[in-house]
Amino acid sequence: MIKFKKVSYTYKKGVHALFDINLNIEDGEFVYIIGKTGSGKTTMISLLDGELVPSSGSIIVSNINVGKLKNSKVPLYRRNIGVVFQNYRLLPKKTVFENVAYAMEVIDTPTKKINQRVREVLKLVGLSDKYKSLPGELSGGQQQRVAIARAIANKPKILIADEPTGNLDSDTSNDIIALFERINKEEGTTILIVTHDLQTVKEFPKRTIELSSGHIIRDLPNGLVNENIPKNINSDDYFDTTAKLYFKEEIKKDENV
Amino acid sequence: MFRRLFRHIKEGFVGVGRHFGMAFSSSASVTIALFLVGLFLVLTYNLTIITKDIEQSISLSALVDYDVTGQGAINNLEKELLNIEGVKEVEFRSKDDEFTYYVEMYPDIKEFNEYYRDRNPFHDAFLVSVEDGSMLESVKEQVQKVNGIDSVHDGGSNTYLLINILEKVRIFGGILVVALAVLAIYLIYNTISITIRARDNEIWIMKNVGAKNGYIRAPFLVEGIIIGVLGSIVPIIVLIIIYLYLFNISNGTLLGVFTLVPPYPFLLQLSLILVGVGILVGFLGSYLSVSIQLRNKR
Ligand SMILES: Nc1ncnc2c1ncn2[C@@H]1O[C@H](COP(=O)(O)OP(=O)(O)O)[C@@H](O)[C@H]1O
Ligand SMILES: [Mg+2]
Repeated sequence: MIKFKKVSYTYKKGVHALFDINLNIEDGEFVYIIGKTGSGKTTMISLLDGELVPSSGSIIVSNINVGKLKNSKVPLYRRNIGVVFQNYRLLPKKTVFENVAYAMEVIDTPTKKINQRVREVLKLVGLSDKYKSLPGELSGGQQQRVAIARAIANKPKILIADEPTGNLDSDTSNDIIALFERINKEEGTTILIVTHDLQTVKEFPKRTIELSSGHIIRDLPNGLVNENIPKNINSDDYFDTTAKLYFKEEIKKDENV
Repeated sequence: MFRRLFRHIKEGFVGVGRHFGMAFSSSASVTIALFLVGLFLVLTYNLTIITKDIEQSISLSALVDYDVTGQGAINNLEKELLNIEGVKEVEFRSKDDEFTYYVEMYPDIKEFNEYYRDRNPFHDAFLVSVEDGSMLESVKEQVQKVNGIDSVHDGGSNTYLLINILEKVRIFGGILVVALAVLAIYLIYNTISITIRARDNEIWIMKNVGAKNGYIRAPFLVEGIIIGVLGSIVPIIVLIIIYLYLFNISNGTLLGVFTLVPPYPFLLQLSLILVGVGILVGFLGSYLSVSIQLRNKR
């Protein structure tokens, strides 16, 4: 279980990135985090990953207060969390197999276990036949699959992906989201996907949390299914609709007071 | 445990291989720094030994007043001298001894000897040797103050000057050695910083999957140590050759007067020290570099 309690974050330069975020995510949930560029999505997952420490409030993950972790305990905490980024970050001179194995080697996993698990995850992401290839020989979608395989190799409880489909066309994006769905089902991993690719979000409806200027403005249990939305969240008309929604909510709150 | 150690060492060598140009050029710079370190170690060590030699050979000659006579008075005086801080030994020489010594030294001036035999002009004297050359001056002052001592003589101010100069050279050498070591640390720091930047991706991945800082740091430490050790090999060989050569052509002396430290075990110790400095410098250089890099991300 992931719990954000009144979490705020201000960067050193004085940029307020998040305000009073309250959030509960159950084990095994699949959640999208959407919002315009600069709305605070990456900040939120950096806090969850333990890389940043909340300026105020607390983040509890499986009873661990993440912000209170000593620096020396962060690595062990992080073994519970897999991370995938937009630009894959594969090691170009290592094969697909070695790239995935690397994540297990550096936390001292016995070789036998590594061989077994790497085969398992490569099968899960559909790259069993590519295990000898170098990243440069793969398509973008395939490279992202390798990155995902690497992120789940150590069986993290939570898998976070920051714009995982940002560099991919829509068909490939759908395949990747389908893969996350599969991981969610087969491994029971809690999945958090940061994206502004609303088309995909609509295609695979899940709980969707929307950030705007550091606030959660919506938390929709069934995503954007019934919404008429433009593909790009950064376009002006999208902002207009959500801004109106946000202000409506605020007005309602004010009226209730 | 051993598997992991082996892996770190392997990674360290791979790192050196991957950035061979960088590693080589920084090894070369470290080589020059360590050569100078070694040179000054050889120099200062020899100077230390020579200074000790000179200091040990210096003793004060304290002349006893003519009116102090009798075994008891002499014994008391001797005790008093021994009590002075810094005095190692006191040796009594009667004026007859002094006279005989003089006569033996200058047998030619016979008449003179005959004339003075019954009116010995010499003082009874004490040869006072000091524990440490640096105390010579203070001991001299103290002895001068003792009741019953007429005057104190030493080897002359040239000896002090020499000791002083040697001392300054040694201090200067010491400072230079430290400065060069710091320079070597900086050179290795730079190299490792560059190889770390080149391995940014790997560090990022290791952090993300929860590798411990010690684990991330280890290969870079190995890499730094390799560079440091490689940088110490050439200076060791060159210094050994130079020293053996100089030692042989000079028959183990400096200017034919001072003895040089014998090559064995001195050169062995020197080699070990230089390898040690290489390891230390490599370790510190890369440790600093990785620590600064790791601090960027929790
Ligand atoms: N390292 C940083 N230093 C200062 N401000 C930052 C830093 N990273 C992000 N920000 C600011 O914090 C806000 C939220 O950024 P971010 O979480 O990256 O948004 P998103 O991922 O939704 O695009 C933005 O205003 C951004 O400019
Ligand atoms: Mg972002």
